[in-house]
Amino acid sequence: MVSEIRNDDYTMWYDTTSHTVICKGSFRLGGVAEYEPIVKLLDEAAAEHPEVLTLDLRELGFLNSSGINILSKFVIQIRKLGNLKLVVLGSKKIPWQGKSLVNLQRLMPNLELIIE
Amino acid sequence: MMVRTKKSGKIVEVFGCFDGKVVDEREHLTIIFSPAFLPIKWSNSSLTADFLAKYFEDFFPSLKEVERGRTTLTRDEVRDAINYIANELIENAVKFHYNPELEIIFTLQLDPTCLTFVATNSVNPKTMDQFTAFITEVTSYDPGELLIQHLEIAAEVASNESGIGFLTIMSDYGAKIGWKFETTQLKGAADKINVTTMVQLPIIKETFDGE
Repeated sequence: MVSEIRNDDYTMWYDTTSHTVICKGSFRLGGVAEYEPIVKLLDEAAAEHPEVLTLDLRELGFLNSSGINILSKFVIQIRKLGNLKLVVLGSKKIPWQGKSLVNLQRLMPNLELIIE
Repeated sequence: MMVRTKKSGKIVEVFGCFDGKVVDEREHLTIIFSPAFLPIKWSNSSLTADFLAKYFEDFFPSLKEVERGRTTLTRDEVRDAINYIANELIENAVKFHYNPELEIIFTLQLDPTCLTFVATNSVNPKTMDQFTAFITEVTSYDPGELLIQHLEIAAEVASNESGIGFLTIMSDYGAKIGWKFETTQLKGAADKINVTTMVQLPIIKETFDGE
């Protein structure tokens, strides 16, 4: 199981106690293939079937369109499962989060979006 | 909207919000990539976007100054927007650049009411129909609605070419986009096509708390 990814650009791990995927740094990878480790970690977190899965993006400073694509795909996948509550945490300090995270909620209306 | 003209033997087609302005005496930075001489790395996009963001944010006020009545975007908002938009445009230009003998040119200009991003690269003539069909779609419908539709479609197929970058720039950042295609028809050879993508990001806030 991939429970943690660490490199110069970003850090990402799944906290099995709080059922939270934490993403920090910048997701500016070059398309679907390069995002594969991230997708794998997200899929593995969802496969644990917690009642509530939290995606903590409060320290994710940058996300390119391929990253938006990947996160949207994950949200749609969770929506289709139908039995998992998804919470997304964002930060007002990072302007893109206020602009773009609301799109995830448009894809999954019962997603709880908390921008603090 | 599309406008087609012929100039100096070239066919010029303009789509969307492309007002034809070129870099003038205003504050601007231009970077030229020459893939024939130096292979472009993926990280060139983010490095360039980071630099441009850092450079131009200095012309904008802090949040405190905005709260005291300045009506432009804040420094943080500008840095964030340049980071996203410049990175997307350069990533696209690098990804779709067709003729390595030609340069990729990127300019960011500070105008009185907007930041103007201009990216020029060459295009594979075989992909022109697909490209112009996408442009017709994004310039005819609400970008916010289209973005959601494209995200739903992209979730079903493995593709790097969903147009989500352009749609996000329009929908989430409220920017205008236009394209200019310049086609040189050659006897006995495929057309040479250059595309210039122009993004105009408004920097004046429509409303602010001080009013």
